[in-house]
Formats: sequence, structure tokens, C-alpha cells
Amino acid sequence: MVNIRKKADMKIQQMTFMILFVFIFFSFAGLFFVSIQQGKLNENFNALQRESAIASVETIANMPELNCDSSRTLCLDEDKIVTFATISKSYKNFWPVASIKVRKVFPKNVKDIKCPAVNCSYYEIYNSNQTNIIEYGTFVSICKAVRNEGVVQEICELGRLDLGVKISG
Amino acid sequence: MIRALRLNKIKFGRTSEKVRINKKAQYNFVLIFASIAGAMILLLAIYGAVKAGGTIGKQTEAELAKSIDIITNPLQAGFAEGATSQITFKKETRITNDCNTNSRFGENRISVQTKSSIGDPWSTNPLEYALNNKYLFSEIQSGKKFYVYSKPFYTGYKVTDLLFMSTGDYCFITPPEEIAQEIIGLNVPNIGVKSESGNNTCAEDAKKVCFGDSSGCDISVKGECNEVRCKSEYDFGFVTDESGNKKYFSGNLILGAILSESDIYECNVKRLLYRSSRIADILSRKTDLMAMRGCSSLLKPDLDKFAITLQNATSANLETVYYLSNDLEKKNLREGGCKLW
Repeated sequence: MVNIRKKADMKIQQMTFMILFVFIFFSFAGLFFVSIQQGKLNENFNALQRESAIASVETIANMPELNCDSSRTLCLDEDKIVTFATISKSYKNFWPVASIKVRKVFPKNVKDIKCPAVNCSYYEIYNSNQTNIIEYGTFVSICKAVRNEGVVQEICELGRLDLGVKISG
Repeated sequence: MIRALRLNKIKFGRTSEKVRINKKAQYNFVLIFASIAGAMILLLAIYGAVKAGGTIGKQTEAELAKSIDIITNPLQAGFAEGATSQITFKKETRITNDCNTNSRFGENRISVQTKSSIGDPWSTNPLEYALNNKYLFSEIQSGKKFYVYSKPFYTGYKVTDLLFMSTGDYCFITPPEEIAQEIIGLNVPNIGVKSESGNNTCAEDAKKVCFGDSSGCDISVKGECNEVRCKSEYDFGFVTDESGNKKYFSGNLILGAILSESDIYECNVKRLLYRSSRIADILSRKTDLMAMRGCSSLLKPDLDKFAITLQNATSANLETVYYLSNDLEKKNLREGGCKLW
């Protein structure tokens, strides 16, 4: 009688361990699946962010708030940039990117000084203060109209429009 | 001896019967225990799989919504007078467009739902994706092929490119020449034109859009620009849709009024006019900087006034906006080399 009872207990224990093992196995399989999905999600997120930044470069450069006029592409108006840098806070949440900077390419400044300042090198159009940002950019012309001896001239410099997007670590 | 043996046999026989009974009970217990545990594991696995499937589905829908944002970016770029593109989905897809003016510039919120063959055809609570710098005119629609096209919006200066999205067919019946040319130029496959000369590119079950005083159509458009200053009667006017809603338009907003729901249209117009007011403000500040370099402009007071007018303007103010815009445009052209835009 005692032997039989011991055998039944043994069977229950076996079954319990089996179920525990199966449960642990499925949990690990689930965790493995979740981590793969997470990886894929991060990868997709970063790819979409990169695409978004690249696709936004031309759109932002051609926005009437910054561009020279609607008949020219990749041309930024220096007066609008200067103006915009002072009112950029009112455009909070408007941009599809995390940061927008317009850099002067020539003459190259050793120090990264934010405009307006003496020998400044870049204008900060927008900064969401997010971390983990990667920047994508394109070369643009930065132009302004100047009247010289009664003749209106357009003076252009080479610049770079840098857009930052948040990436997932 | 024989009696003793018989007794033993009886005793032994009873013991084996007891063992058999115990074994049966033990077998049943193990079977029930295993069945219940197995069923629970199976249910848990199915539940997990369904949940994971739902999450992946939501993830895909969110990715699609973001992709729509990216795909529509090139339609906004450049100086073209219009651009057309199409988005094709593998499965039947529903795109919902919502609009709000909660923040200063407002936003369009789009969500994508893919049709499922299991359970509810459309997923509940789809993830929304905000388009802050785009103006999308559309109505709730489902299909596999969506046409997206853009037209610029001007208030003297260019404000932005309007985006229109539709999957259903539309038939413009005897539109005025300038509108017919615009539609033909856009080359959108789902908008046909039935002209007076007899040319008909309309689909059979298309929504009928009439112009002027014609009746018997789903949507009617009435031009109200009758002054000498107007380039066309349809420079501004109103569109009456199937529900009887009156939507005032100006310029390229005519397409938005035809293709989108009343709420979305009104919301987007408000957003556009606010954006235009901000641009007027930037241009006004630009005049100060230009003046320092000998390029003074007479437009500053007009721009300041225009910015204030536009700040809280709605579609009801589009007629005023049209005339003010025309004046601004003319004055800017007179500035010669120092023109602001």
C-alpha cells in the first residue's frame, strides 16, 4: 500500500516538474520572440526615422518660412533664418524632426558657435533637446539681397542644412 | 491444507482487486491532471499568439501610417504646380484622417487599419500618427489603391502644398476650362472629366461633381468671384456636399472642399490661414533686416495687418483673404529687386 502511494506521489512530482519545465521552456521561447520583435521594431524605427529625415530635407529647405522664394529649391533666405532663429519657439511641435541647424560651410570655423554671435558658425532653427540624435544634411545656398550703389544684388554663400532625428539605441 | 490454500487465494484475490482499483484511480488522476495542465498551456499559448499577432498588426499599421508621411514628402517639395502619386496596399486598407487645432499649428492625425479575415474586419483603437506640417484633405475611405496629389496654396506668397487623398472615383461634369485643365494636368486616374464637347473620362459609379447652377449631382460647386479683379469666377466660392454642408473655398482649396469631409476641411483651412499669418509675420520682420542693407520695403504695414487678419480666420473669411492676397502680390511685384518673395 505504502509502495503504491509512493509511486503515485512520484508520478505527480514527475508531472509537476514536466509542467514546470514546459512552462519555463515556453517562457524562454516567448522572451526570445519578444527580443527578436524588439530588435526588428528598433531596426524599423531607425530605418523609418532615417527615411523621414532624408525625405524631410528638401521639404524643410523649401518651406516658405526659410526658402528664398517658391521658384527655387534648396535655397535658404538668410534674413528668414535670422528672423526664424528668434521666433523658433512658436514653431514647437511643428517639425517632423528632432533638430534643424543651418551651418555656414565657408569660411570654416574651428569652433561651433551658435548664431547670433561674432564668428558664429550655425543657426539653430529648432531643437527638441532630445538625446540620441543622428544628423542628416544637404548642401544649400544661403542668400540675401543687398543694394550696392543703387543696384540690388543677391549674395549667396554655401551652407548645409542638418536635420537630426532620434534613433533608438 | 486445501482450506488454508483457498483462504489464501481469496485473500490474495482481494488484494489484487484493491491494487487494480488504486491503479485505476492513479491513472485517472494523472490523465485529468495532465489534460488540465496541457489545456491551460495550450490556451496560454493561443492567447499569447493572438496578443503577439495583434501587437505585430498594430506595429505594421503604425509603420504604414509613418510611411504615408514619408511617401507624401516629395509631393510637397519643389516648385511644381501639382504632383500625383499612388499608394498601393497588399490588403484592403482603411485610412482615417482626423484634424484638430489644439496646438497653434494644429495637426492631421492619420491611422491605418488593415482588413482582417479573422474576427472583426477592422482592428479597434488603431494607432494614430500626427502630421504637424502637412495639410491632408480626405474622408474615411478603404481600398487597396489610394491616389495622393498635391497643389500649392497661395495667399499672395506660397504657404504650403495641399495634399489630397482619395480612393473613390469622381466625375467633374462640364467644369470651367481652367478647372478642367488643372484636373487633366494633374493626371489623377480616379478623377474623370465630362466636357461639353462630349469627351468623357468618368467611371460609371463615380461621384458626380457639378459646376454652376446644374443640379442632380452628389456635389455642387458654385463660383462667386464676379468682380473685374477676378481671374476666374471660381477663384472663390462654395461647395455643397451630399449632406448639404456648405464649404467656402479659395484657389486650390476647391479640391479640398470637394474631396474631404466638412470637419476636416474647416479644420485644415483654419490651420492653413494660421500658418499663413506666421509667414506674413516672418516676411514683415524680414523687411527690417533688408532695410538695413538699403532694401527698404513698403509692405511692412500691409503684412502686419494681414497677419492679424489671418490669425483667427476661418473659411468664411476666404473672400477677404483672396482680395488682400491679390493686393499684397501686386505690391510685392512693384518692389522690383527688393521684393520680399
